[in-house]
Amino acid sequence: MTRSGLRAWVAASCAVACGLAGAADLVINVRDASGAPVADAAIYAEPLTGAAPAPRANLRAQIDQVQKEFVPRVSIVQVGTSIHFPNSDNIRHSIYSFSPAKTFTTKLYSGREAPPVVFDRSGIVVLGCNIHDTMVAWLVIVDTPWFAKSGPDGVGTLKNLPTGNYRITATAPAANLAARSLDVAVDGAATQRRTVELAPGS
Amino acid sequence: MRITVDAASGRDLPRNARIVEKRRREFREVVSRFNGLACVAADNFSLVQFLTGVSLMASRPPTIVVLAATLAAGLCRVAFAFAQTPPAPVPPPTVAPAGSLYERLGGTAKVSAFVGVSIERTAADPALNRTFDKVNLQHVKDMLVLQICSLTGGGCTYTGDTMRDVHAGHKITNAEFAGLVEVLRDAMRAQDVPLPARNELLALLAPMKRDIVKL
Repeated sequence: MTRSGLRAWVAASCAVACGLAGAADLVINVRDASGAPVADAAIYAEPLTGAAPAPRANLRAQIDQVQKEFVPRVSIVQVGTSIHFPNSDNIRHSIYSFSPAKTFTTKLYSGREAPPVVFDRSGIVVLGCNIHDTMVAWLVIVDTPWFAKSGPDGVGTLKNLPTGNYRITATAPAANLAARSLDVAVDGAATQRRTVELAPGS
Repeated sequence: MRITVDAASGRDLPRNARIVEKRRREFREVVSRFNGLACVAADNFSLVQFLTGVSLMASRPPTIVVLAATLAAGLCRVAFAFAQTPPAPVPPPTVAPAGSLYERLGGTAKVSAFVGVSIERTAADPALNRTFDKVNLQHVKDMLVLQICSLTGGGCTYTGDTMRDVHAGHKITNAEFAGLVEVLRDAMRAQDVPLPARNELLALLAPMKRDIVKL
């Protein structure tokens, strides 16, 4: 195989294997006003032109109850996701939300599986437990399949964004920082990096 | 719309009111036969009265009442199916029903006081507080007052979880159970609750042990 033939073969394979020609990763670095990394920030990309692809069927995620804490404390999921509450504590919990995006209560009992809760509207839901005051979790529900959560280093990666223009939003409800957006043009396969600085607020 | 009836005797009331009271009892019986206890409420009777007129109810044979009650029971069930809400809790009364154990315990003021002290002391005692970590103590107090009120004729409706559901998974030991009983006993004594009332309450609570310990 000639060198140009090999290159063409690799390009063709990638077009198939990578699924989308011209999809790039976008690395978002979330910082607070003092420049410190913000962990557990929800980061998501919404296309500025056209709608985001419809959610896949049977989207599932879980928020566990461990030592009277929610694990994870912050989750980001797509609209339509069923959240399961496995209750590893295996004692009674009484989970509730008063948030407009989803108001519900569900009781978790020892040795009984609770039905999952479907989150069908975008927004931020704060979860609490009626029995254990200190338990709190945040669930960010977004209307796009492109989302990530920042790690302890404040960095999260939006993977495989097809070529196009996006509004990137970062929000850190657990850190009581206000959401902030910036627009990014994705063109080709080159990974791009951006820093988002969040100001105090909710 | 409310009518006042002397439920105890009915004797000093005019004839019409006595019949109304009789019909009210028949009504309750029929509704409870249809719906268990969930929908028994004098309000339903008021509604039926409103719809049919008190005088009509008072002068008609019981079959009319049975019909009206059946209708109300049906409506109630439909309402429940739509609302999907559990029965509303009946809160502790400001004046305890006369002659009830709740009254002899000292009514809501004293029951709230000794329950409050018991829970605070248990949650602060290293030998007893293992399962109270991070627990909303106000919720526990409120539910315990409601449960005692409902058990002792205070007229409350307990809407909390069963004792088994509340304690399952905590693996409460006999020592922890006995410790809380002792704390409760002390708190009642400190509130000058008379001995017979104290013992009656403990006798009502004692059978719950099987739904609390070692689960």
